[in-house]
Amino acid sequence: MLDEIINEAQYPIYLLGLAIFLFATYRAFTIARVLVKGAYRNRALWTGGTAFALILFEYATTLPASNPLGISAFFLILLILFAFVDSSIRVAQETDFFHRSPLGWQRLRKPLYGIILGYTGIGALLILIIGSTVAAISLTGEVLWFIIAGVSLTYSAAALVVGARRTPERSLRRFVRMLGLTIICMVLFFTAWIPFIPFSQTVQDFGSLVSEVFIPLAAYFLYLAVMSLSPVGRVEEAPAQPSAQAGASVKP
Amino acid sequence: MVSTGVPTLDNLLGSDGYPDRSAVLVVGPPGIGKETLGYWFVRSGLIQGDYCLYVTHRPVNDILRDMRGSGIGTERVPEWIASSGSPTKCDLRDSTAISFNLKEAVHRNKGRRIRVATDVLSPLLVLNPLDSMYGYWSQLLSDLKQQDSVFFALAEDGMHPPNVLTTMEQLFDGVIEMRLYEEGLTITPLFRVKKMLGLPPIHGYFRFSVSNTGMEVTPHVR
Repeated sequence: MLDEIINEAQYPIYLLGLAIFLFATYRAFTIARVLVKGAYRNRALWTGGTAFALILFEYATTLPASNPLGISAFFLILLILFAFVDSSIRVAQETDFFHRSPLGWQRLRKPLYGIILGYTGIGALLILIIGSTVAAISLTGEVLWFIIAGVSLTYSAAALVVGARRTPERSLRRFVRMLGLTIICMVLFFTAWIPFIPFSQTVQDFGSLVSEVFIPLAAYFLYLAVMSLSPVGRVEEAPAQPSAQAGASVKP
Repeated sequence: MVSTGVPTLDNLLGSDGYPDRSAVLVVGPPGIGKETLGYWFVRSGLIQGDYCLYVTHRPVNDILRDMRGSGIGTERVPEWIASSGSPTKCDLRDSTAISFNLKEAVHRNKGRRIRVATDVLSPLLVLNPLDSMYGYWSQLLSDLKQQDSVFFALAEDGMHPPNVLTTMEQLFDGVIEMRLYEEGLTITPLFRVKKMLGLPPIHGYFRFSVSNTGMEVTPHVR
C-alpha cells in the first residue's frame, strides 16, 4: 500500500518539475528576444537552453544504462553547464566597471573548453564506434568524468562568484545566488537517495521520492534565476488616456 | 532642438528631439538598449556636422562593435574619452580628470553645436559618495549648458538605491526610463518619458524595437 502511494507520488512531482522547467525555458527565450546587447541576450539564451537541457537530462536519467541517449546526456550536460556558466562570467566581467577577468577566466576558458570538448568528443566517438555505452563508460572512465566535471565546473563556478561580487549589478548577484541553489538541488537529486540504500525496499523507494522532490525545487530556483535576468515590471490598465499618444499606464 | 537620431522619438518629443542646452538621462537595466539610443544620438550629430564626444569606461573597440551590431556605420566616429583606444583616457578612479577632459574638449569646440554621450554616470555613482557626486554632476552640467550643447547620460537601473537615481533625475532636464514589462505571458520592452524640459507631460508608455536598420518607437496599447 505504502509502496503504491510512493510510486504514484513520483509522477506528479516529476511532471511539476517538467512544467516549471518548461516555463523557465519559455521565459528565458522571451527575455532573450527583447534584449538588445549581445552578452545579455546570450546569457538569456543560455539560461533557456540550459533549462531545456535539464528537461532532457531529467528524462535521460530515467533511461536504462544500455541506452546511448542516457550516457550521452552526461557528456552533453557537462558541456552545456560549462558554456552556461561561461556566458554568465562574461556578463559579470562586462558589468564590472573595470572589466577585470575573474580568476584569469579570459586566459583559461579556452583551454578548459578544449579539455571538455575533447573529452565529450572522445566519449561520443567511443559510443559510435564501439556501439556499447558500457564499454564507452569504462574507456572514458567515470572517475575521469568526475575529475573533469569537478575541476572545470568548480573553477568556473568560483570565477562566476568572484565576477558577481565585483559587479554592482544586483540582478546578476541574485541570478548567481539562484543558479547556485539550482545546482545544489540538482546535486541533492543525484545523492539524496544514497543514505536510504541499507534499508528495506519501501524505505529505498521513499529515498527516491525524496530525491525527486529536488527536481521541482531546482526548476523553481532556475525560474527565479531566469526572472532575475532583467528586472520586469507589470503593466496595468490605464485609468484614462490623457493624450492621443498615450498607451497604458504602467506600475513597475 | 537636437534630433535624437530616431525620427519616431523626435515626433514624440514635439517633432524636433531633445531641447537645446539640456541634459538628458536614460535609465534602464543592462542590455535593454540604452546605449543604442546614445549611438543614434551621436550618429545623428555626426551627420549634421555637430561636434560629438563619447565618454565611456569601455574600450573604443567595444563601442564600435556595438555600434555596428546596432546597424550604425562607423565610417564617421565621435571624439573619444575611453578606457582604451583613445588619446584621452577615461580612468574611473579619477573623476576630476574625466570632468576636466570633458570640459576642455567642449571648450575647444566653442561656437559649434556639441553633443556629449556618456556611460560613466553609474560607475562614478557606485565608486563615490552620493553627496560628492551630486555636486560634481551639478557643476559639470551647469558648465556644459553654458555652451550650445546637449548632454546625454546613461544610468543603470538596479545598480543604485532608488534615492540615488531620484537625486540624479532632479539634476537632468529630461529623463527617459526603459524597462521590460510583463503582460500575461509576454514580456515587452517599453519606455516612458518621465520629464522633458519645455514639454508638457507625456503620458503613457511606448514600445521600442531595435534592429540593424534603426530604432522604432510606437505608442504602447494593450
